[in-house]
Amino acid sequence: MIELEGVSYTYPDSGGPAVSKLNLQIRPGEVTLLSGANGSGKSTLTRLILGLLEPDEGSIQVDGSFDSEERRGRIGLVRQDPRSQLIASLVDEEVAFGPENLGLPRDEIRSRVQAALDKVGLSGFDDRNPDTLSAGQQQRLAIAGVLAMRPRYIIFDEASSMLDPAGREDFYRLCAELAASGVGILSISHFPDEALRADRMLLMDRGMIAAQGEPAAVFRQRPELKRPFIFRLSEALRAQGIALPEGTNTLERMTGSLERLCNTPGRNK
Amino acid sequence: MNPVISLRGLEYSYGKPDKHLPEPPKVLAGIDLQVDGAELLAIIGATGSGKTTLLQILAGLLLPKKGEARILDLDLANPKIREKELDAHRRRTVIALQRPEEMLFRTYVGDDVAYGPANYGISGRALALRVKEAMEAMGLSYTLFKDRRTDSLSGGEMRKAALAGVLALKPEILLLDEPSAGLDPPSAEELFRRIQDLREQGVTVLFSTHDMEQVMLADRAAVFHEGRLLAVDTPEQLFFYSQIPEQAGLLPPEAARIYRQLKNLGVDMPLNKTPSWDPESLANSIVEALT
Repeated sequence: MIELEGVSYTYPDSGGPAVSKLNLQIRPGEVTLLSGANGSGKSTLTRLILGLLEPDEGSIQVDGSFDSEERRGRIGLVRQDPRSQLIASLVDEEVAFGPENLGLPRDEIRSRVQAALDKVGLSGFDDRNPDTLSAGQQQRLAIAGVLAMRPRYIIFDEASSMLDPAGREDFYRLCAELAASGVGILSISHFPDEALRADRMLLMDRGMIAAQGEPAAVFRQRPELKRPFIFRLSEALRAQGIALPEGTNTLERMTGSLERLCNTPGRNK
Repeated sequence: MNPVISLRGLEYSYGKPDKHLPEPPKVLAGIDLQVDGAELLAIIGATGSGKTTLLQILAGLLLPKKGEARILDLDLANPKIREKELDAHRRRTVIALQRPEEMLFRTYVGDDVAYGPANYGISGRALALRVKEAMEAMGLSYTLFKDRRTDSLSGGEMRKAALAGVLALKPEILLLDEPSAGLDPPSAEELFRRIQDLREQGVTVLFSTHDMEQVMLADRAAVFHEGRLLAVDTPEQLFFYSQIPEQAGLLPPEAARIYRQLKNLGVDMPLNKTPSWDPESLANSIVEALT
């Protein structure tokens, strides 16, 4: 578990703290969504977790270790713009780069590379030049590079923001699969719908955690947030006297519930 | 009146043919598109479908390889086009590339916004006035922001400052490549209110986006798929009554998906009203169908 206790940080020469007295946990096997306006402290939080910044106050531990070097080895980072982290001229070399730096044996590297490419749907792309891949494929390649390091946790820093809607769906699916295999995921995103796929949600506001918990509960607590469409439609229907069952949080369940309503005896249509 | 933009059989490919690649793959092919006047036109399609290339051609940054590309009566595909004509074109048709805030380079916001028009020889009061108008059109108060350091702005403010720099050039056609990517929802919504205002003032605005709710704000949407233009129509027509967006690998807004699924399930959704993407109006249609 990644655990922050009372963490504060102020950039030199800035007016006030970028983050202040943060208490939060990121658990293995869960997708945690981190949301908040531009400038609310999300990126600072990421840098602190990765050990790129040292907190002025408070403590950060990862699986019991307070050492920032050790922490970095357990956490992978995927950024918004995949090109900023691609370096090799061949896809398989790109994925092998991290494991090679760990000094792993050749066979182990090869099997990790294949498993990682497989996981992101890029097997068979080994000999391609990363520059010739589409933006969505480059993003998946960057993810494969991180997976090959077998991190316990992965931070996706707005990694879905440059993807098209179909690419984003694939990305959500991959996150869910990784979480199911025990990886702890922290995903920073502005898309309200991503909350529907997350186990937990953290909302930041001016350097502090404004709300945290199950996404539906966070949206209930903070009515000013832009909520996923399904939630808004449920509320609009409830206002008109149509109550949908609890847990109607996907499009399929929504249409399913509505269809059952239409076929209820006593209705003409 | 002549159309503002008229494309006929437009074609583009990156790279020159050589013996290894006698025919470089076409990034755009057979594009026919006409825009008559002030309009908000969304350019949509999966990544790699040709959206950015199209915007860069319209901006005069890339020259078409084939076909006709008349913009404000200048044919950009004319091989004899002169550099002077292209320069004049680039003053009237201005593009904001993806993540324009990366191009902010002056220390203070006011100076950065003034940079373009100052380069075109505007100075003194006229320049100050342009800067003020452009900043306020983007929702940045001139008095509060002109002396702010660009590196002290939040991400949303930086985006607005960068777009104000583009607006200060007073373009007749404004091209925006993913103007809201990476902005939080309130900042993105505000940006789109500003863009809609510009359209009301007579500017033709073309923007690319992956956010289908934003597409619903446009007058029309042009759907690109693998370098071809599949359709140009109103967002309602495309999303609620056609499957063209899906053919282009796009996911329609939830309202359209729910509306169509309910129709497929045999629910008698009212046809008399234009469907809309907001949850309240969809709820009204559903209630009407159920009672």
